Amino acid sequence: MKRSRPVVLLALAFASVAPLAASAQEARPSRVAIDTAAAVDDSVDANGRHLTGLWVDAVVSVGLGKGFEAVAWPIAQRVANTGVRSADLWIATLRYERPGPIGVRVDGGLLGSPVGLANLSVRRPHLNPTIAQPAALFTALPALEPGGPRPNLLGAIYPFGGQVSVSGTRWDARAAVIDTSPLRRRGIFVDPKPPRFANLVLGGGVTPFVGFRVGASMTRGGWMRAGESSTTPTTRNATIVTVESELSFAYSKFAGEWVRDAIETSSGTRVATGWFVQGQQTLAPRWFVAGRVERLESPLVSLASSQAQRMTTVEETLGYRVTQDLTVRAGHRARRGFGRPDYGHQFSMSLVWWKRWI
Amino acid sequence: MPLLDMTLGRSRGPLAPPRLVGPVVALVAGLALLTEGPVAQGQPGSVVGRVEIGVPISARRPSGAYPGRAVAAAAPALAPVSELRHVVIYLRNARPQAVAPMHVAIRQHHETFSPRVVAVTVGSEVEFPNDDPFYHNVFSLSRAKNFNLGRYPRGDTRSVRFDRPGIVKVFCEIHSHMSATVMVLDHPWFAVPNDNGRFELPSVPTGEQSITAWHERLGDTTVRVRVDSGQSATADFVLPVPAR
Repeated sequence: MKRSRPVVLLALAFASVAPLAASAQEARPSRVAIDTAAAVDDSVDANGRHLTGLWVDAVVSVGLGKGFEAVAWPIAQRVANTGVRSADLWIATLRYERPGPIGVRVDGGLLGSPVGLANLSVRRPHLNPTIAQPAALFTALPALEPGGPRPNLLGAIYPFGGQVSVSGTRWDARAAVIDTSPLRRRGIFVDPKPPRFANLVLGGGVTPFVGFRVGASMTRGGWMRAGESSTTPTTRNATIVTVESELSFAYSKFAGEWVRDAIETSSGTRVATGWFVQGQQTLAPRWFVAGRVERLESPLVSLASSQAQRMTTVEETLGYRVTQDLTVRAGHRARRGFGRPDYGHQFSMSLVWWKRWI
Repeated sequence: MPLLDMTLGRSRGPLAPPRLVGPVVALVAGLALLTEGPVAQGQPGSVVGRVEIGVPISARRPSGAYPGRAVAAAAPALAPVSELRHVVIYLRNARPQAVAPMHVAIRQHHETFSPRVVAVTVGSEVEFPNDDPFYHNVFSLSRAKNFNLGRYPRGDTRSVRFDRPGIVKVFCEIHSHMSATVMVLDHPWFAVPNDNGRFELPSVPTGEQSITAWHERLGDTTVRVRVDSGQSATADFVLPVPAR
């Protein structure tokens, strides 16, 4: 004990001489991280009709220590095509992450969709290379069940649930249990709300080399409750299989996804499929071009017949980064809807502002 | 105490490039010569001092609603250890000089630029080697220099030559928490403090001089000192300026 006394005195003396605590001279990770995005886009179609969309969101995360983090993602938007305004909370999750050779991440709460590349990569306007998002996220498929709900091929869902992800250098895997079918979007503050369905998601991918990943997922669970249509006496299930890939190098970035839904209906299992491929090329520090081709195929089912219908969308975008935070985009979109013989054309302008605050 | 005057404020840059031309430039240059510009009179002096940071500095950490399918192999590092290495001390209002170009590196390691701040002379090249086992995409849209190096893997590097004075903010297109600053100066009178905050500006022209300490979060703090021939003037900084 006596030997420790000079050490303590020396430490006290040093502390009194030191002008500032060490913590004041060293950067520490911020406890709170906030970034916000806002976007406005205006489209005009061949008939001169203007459609204006608005978007405001924030991603807030709070580090809780020991690998824990709370993340919230509130949004407000005005959907261009419908003019509907809404505000919602898309993500409110408690996350645990342990980095390492085999990293582990656990999410619980209101999750970002564990299914689909589009959900993962383009949901915020500054991350989306084009002005519009993949149609599969929002566009309802033709009716599969007379009088029943119209599902999405793979909706932009934000379910309650839990997800575990593990990954190594060249692989990743995840499993999730969610309360929402990927075929039916369900908001926290948006009505009407479809029923809850337990769905199990399994997914994984390999990364043969940096910049290239191929992944797949399978989701199984209910999508339509008994009694939602007059011809549905029992709860119906759906199996959703996705294959996704991303390739990036130098100034180029490509991504693609293929989706197959096997959807149980009162008239048997119906299959809907779809895919998109998108690319982005940086031309100069401020200039980029991007494009996306998307196709959805699904049957239109009536009591008497079933008819395959297709939807095709092609979009091209030219972007200019005014500043680090501000991007202007101009684009053209050609879209042929389900059961439509011709393409409709839209020309759009978009202004996207994104800022990382802390 | 040689600390004669202290001002705090944001500036456009260490040496905002003159946009005026012709007679206006000549007039301004003449006035600068007669007033506060460095005046070479015999043997130059030097400025030494110490920098302290009086407030906690926070660094950005990764954050995202969608963190990606893969989990990070390692937690992002913060480098260098001392925030004092992110301060640049320079002679304000110095006239442009012919300076030798430098060659420095800003490494991308554990999702962090290291060092996060460098000061170089005009014409210098800065390398951006990638030490991480995944892509980075270094870019800047700053007025003094805009560039985009694209994606390149670990072990690869790209370099950028900085031909205009000013502050160049550097980011990673893929990791929004990564940022660095390249301060480009057209004179030799600048320094980055050591881990203890000590610095020296050698061969400073004699006369009244404004010495500025710049920090990316704390802005500019400027003190005026008198540099005498063959003497060493002292300029100490506490960032930010304490409230009175």
